[in-house]
Amino acid sequence: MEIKRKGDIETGKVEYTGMSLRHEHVANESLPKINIFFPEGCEDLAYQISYGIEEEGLPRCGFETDEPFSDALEDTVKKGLGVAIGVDGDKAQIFCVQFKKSEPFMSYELSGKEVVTDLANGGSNTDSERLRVVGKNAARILKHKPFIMEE
Amino acid sequence: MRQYIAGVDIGNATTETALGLIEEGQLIKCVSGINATTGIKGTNDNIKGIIKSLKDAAKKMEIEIEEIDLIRINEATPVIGDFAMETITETIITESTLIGHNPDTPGGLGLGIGETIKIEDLDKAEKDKAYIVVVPAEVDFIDAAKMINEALDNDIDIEGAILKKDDGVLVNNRINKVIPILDEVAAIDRVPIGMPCAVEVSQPGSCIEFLSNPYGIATVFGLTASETKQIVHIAKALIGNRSAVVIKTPEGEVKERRIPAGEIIIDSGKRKYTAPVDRGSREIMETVRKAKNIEDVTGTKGTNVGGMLEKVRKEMADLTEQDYNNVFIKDIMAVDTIVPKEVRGNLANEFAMEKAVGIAAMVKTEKLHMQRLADAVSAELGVKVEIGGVEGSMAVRGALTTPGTEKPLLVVDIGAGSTDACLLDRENKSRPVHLAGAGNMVTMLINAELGLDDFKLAEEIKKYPLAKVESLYHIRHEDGTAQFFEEAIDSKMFARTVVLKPTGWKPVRTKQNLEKIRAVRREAKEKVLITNIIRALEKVSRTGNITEFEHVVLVGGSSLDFELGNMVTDALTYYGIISGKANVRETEGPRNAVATGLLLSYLEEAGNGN
Repeated sequence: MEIKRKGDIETGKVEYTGMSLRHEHVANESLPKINIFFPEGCEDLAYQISYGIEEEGLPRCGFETDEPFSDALEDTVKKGLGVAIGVDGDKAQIFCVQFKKSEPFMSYELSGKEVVTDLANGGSNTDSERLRVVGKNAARILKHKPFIMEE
Repeated sequence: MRQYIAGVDIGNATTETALGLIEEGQLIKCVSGINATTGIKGTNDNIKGIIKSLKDAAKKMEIEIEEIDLIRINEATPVIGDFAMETITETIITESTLIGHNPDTPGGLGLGIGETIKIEDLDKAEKDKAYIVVVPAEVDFIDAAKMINEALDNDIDIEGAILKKDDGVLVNNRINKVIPILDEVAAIDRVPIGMPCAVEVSQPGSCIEFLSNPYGIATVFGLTASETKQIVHIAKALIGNRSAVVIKTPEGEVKERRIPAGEIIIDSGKRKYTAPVDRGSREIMETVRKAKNIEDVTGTKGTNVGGMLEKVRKEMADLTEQDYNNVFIKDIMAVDTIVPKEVRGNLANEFAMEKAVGIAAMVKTEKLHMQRLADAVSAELGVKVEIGGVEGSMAVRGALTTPGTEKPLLVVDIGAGSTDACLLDRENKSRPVHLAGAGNMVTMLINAELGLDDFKLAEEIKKYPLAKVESLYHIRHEDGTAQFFEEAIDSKMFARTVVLKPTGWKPVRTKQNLEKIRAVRREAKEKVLITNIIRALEKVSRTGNITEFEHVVLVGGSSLDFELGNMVTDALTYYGIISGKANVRETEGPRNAVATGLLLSYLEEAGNGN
């Protein structure tokens, strides 16, 4: 399922598909994207990841599914850019078609704390910072840019 | 008569042995041994290394050490070198005035000019003014975008934004106007509010044009000619950036200060020559050339160069157990360089390229205590030990076993601290020269010019070739060839420039690309090592014309360097000189020259009836 939200919190504009509205290819559904797979209720996690990808300037899209990790792995081979992300409450994993194994290329443990998107009122949350890094690193595989490594 | 004679060369890094079987004055068989030098050269700590090196050779000869009849050790050249770097310019910002920084992903595009305003004060903004919004870390990008959009809807003219967090693209994608947005500004709270400000972000792949041009800044702020003169250093510090901010503060002042760097005083015996360090290397080297014979070198007291020269002197005095006042600096070498230095008073770790001079010094003393060492080895092994001869002339004798060489021959041994050369002419007379500036100085230049602040990494960059990790499964070498691997490459290396050490790769964490690192590395070697080889030739030449030489042979561990041999060959071919790495005894490469020379000189002396 592709997330399409009325763009209330995002932009105050119409449909949000996770992409910048100013880019012309916004409506181009066939454009390959980095796809994010998440189970029900983990939308906020997926959004944080998508922000990371967006900051790096790549197209992305979210899918709600019961099997985020196996779907992400399958996605890398089938469609998209060859890079996909699976996320649930416990972990986030980057899959990459170039990484010829059936395991994640990078795996991040999450603290499980609720992700606070409203940083102005709720303060920062380490998980949301990490999820941004997940998104950035996924994008960096395609951009050929050194990864952000956690110490 | 069967004799086993060993030549042992104790170098700064390795102790090398050439063990020969001699029958009736003829060398029947010769083997080599090698071990790391233990302790500082010339001290009794060396014995361990000497024994291990001898054992290594004896094993190959299939004898015991005790069967050796004579051990000859070299008269080590008592030379030590050191180096220092002296920055001669410095950019200081007395009031925060610029942010010239290169975040990975700035947002938006173009040039924006306006007054700085905190984002929470946007509701108080006036309609007829242009603004640059300053966003602290507490404000999330969604809120920031919302607030900017609201202000824009209220006809507030927003021309640009400065963010603390890495959110430039995210904000840009959510606002209704294209403005330049600079992010990752660490010291956002030091950005002055209510001041005229200019933000520039250029297209990916290009760099800013307006704010790196002094007249551009003058145009933005309406500066007078004298004010423009002041901000030229801001423009200089911003060259090559993709994004930048310049803020005009009333008292703001940026200046390039010339640091009093002191003078170098060269005593030639007849008269004293002085060279100011801040005039650069050319003047220093010209003075060195003028002085010809150097008796001693000192520096102005209380400056870096003065301290450095005294430090070299003291180290050598300690090492040789001589009086400090009897140690003299016999040569110096200066090299110009440009180093990235953090701008003092900056907001986001801006760097300015500052001029600097690297200086190497070389000290020579009477003698190291080699006789004492020889006696100690003799006592330890029960084998006769003698001092064979001076290192330089031994090296030439060893180097002459290289196929294709003949007298006159110049050998060059590039060590860590000094470059030692020795000429053997047709009459078998040798003329040694010792010059300041060698391997460590190259490392220092690489370290400084790349701004690494990591001497070990710089050393590795010097020694090994580079490659760029292009995917999870392949790298591209610096010569452009690609190499693929079965296993995925460690993600730490991904998209980075790596040093191909034989023991494993090491990523180089700088923003400079491979080509730049390679250029710096080669240039450093050229500036120090090639220059020194030519200086050595000039010094031993009687006519001062270096084309009179025919053979220049590189010996010693550092000539194992992967590119130096070819660089030297390339440079000296210009003068019609044949040069290259030695191949001692046709098997040893550039190693073992001195040890072999010690063995061969024994044969010569025995042949002469000594």
